[in-house]
Amino acid sequence: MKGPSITAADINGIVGIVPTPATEDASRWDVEHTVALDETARMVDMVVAGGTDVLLTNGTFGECATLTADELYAFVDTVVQTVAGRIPVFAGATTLNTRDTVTRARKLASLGVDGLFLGRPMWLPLDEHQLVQYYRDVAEAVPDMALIVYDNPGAFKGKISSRAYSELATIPQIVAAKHIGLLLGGGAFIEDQKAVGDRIRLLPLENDWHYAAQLFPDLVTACWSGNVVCGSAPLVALRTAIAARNWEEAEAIAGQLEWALEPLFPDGNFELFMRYSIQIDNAEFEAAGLIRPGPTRPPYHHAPERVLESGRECGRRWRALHDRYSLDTADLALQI
Amino acid sequence: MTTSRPRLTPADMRGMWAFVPACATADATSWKAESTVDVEALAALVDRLINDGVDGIVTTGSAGEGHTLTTDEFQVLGKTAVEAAGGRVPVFLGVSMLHTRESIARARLAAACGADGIMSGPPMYLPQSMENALQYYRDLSEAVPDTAIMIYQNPHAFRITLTPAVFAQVAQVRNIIAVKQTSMEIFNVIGSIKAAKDNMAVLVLDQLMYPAMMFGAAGAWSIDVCLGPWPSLSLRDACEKQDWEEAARIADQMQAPFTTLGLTMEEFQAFQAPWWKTAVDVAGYGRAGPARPPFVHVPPHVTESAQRYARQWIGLAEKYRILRDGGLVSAQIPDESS
Repeated sequence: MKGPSITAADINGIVGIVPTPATEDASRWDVEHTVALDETARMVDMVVAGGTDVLLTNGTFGECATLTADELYAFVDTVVQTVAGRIPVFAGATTLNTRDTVTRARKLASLGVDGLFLGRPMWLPLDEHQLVQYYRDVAEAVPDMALIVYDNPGAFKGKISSRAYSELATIPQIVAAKHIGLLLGGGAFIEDQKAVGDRIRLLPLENDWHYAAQLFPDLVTACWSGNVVCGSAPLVALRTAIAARNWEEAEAIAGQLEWALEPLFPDGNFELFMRYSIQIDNAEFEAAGLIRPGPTRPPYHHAPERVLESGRECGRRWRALHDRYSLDTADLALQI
Repeated sequence: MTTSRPRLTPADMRGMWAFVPACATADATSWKAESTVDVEALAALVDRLINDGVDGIVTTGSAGEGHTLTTDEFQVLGKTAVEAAGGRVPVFLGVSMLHTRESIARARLAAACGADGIMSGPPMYLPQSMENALQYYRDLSEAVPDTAIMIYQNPHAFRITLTPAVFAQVAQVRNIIAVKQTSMEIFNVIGSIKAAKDNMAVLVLDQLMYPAMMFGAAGAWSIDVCLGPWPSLSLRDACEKQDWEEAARIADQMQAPFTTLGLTMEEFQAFQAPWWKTAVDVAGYGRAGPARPPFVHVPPHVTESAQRYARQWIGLAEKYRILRDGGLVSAQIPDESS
């Protein structure tokens, strides 16, 4: 065993999460191959060229829960080939149990991913011991794969506790964790950061990044974003500001991102968002106009129009920001 | 191909349905184990339950670990249960996966195993809308039109409490013929009974048969029967005879072990697979073996709770076994627990 080639120190900047583009008939239960592979390649190339530093696939809106195993492998194969080693790739392998995840992990390793973006079984909630053992088992099964923990209380029936984080930090393969951030998670980010030290890169949400980075400037050197397919330019500007520790600038950019994302929860209702989150995110990506995500897959395919509209409004706002920041960059290039 | 049975109707879904554990080999706690179904133990348990008088067999729900088995193991388990039942009572296999197409694939496997039906809850990765849950059942029904479907109502696992309005709609689907009601709330249960009318049989937790059967429930589901089925069978018989006084007395006695659980409902839910498997092994009526990953660490107080419950149940079960052998009713034997 040589262990993963990526460590926590390698996770910096924008950790971008992408959807799984779908064919037009993907909402039907009797269709077997629903991944739009050409659009996948185009999307991934755009995201890498746009400045994303680490790529994550098949989280919640990346539909780890609704792809067949064959579709997942075909999608990830295209992603890996398109990225072609330019940045690290972490693929989602969350399933209902440890052994199914191990099976997927081994196959994904053979496709050439650098690591796994890994949530936990969610039929029943896991306690701390079960949760830690689950990650230990997967790390033991694929010792050369780096792991990014997916901490999503909504999907996995509970927040990962600080005590569990300190245990996870003893597993060398775990290099980062997608955290819920400061504003949604309250003080948890601070406690969790103290628990993991520099062994796990905790990733706050993009618009919380500057708060966390001000508290732990040497440790919180990356954030996650689910909006890279709507345009990376604002995130690149944010990354630059945070790297320069220009907190005023970072806060101003984060404020704009918050404006863009403000309509995301319909009526400000997080529960309503959770019930339709895949569909809402999908509507956002489509409205931003840079990729063609296609329809969502069953059973997460219906959503009320007004709920979708909140996603679309986010997409339009984000795209406007992206265009503005792209122009700024172009101006800057001209001046130089 | 096993002998084909006539398609089941709601009227066939009566009585006591045994929910059996996914009996496991000793090495089943390891993620490295590949074939963990204790075929012999499962076949023996199914056979014994049917000989003792249960009316149907259901596998692979929450406590039955539908979520921790590999696809290959699911097939082994399904075939074993169907063969052990040998056509004497219907067998339903639990099929609740992360998405519609995966549930359909597994439902087809269940049919290929010879199962009479499937039990399915809506995908639970995210909380589900009523509209998508309804579409899920319609898609499933369309994909396996010759397989009977039992709706699996379990808000804790599936993050959705299907409403009477949804029940009224799914009840219209031809091959959806029953609902497994996990709810302990009698008025929720009554709502589903009213919505189902004659189009769908409602099965309730065994100890709720009284008063649910008085209000039109068709029968019950029970894991308790795997610890010794006699109290549950006596309650079934009393309800079917509409002897509500006797039924109330038995139901009270069956509820007593539950009051000494010593766990929060959240703990009980989270650890239900190892909890029930421990209880089954302590009671000794069948052999369940350990729970599979990731449910391998069990706090001592959870194990003690299961042991305590099983010991209490054994006392009750033995009393009713003797009663049933002698053809007596429970009022004729003093109640030791009171």
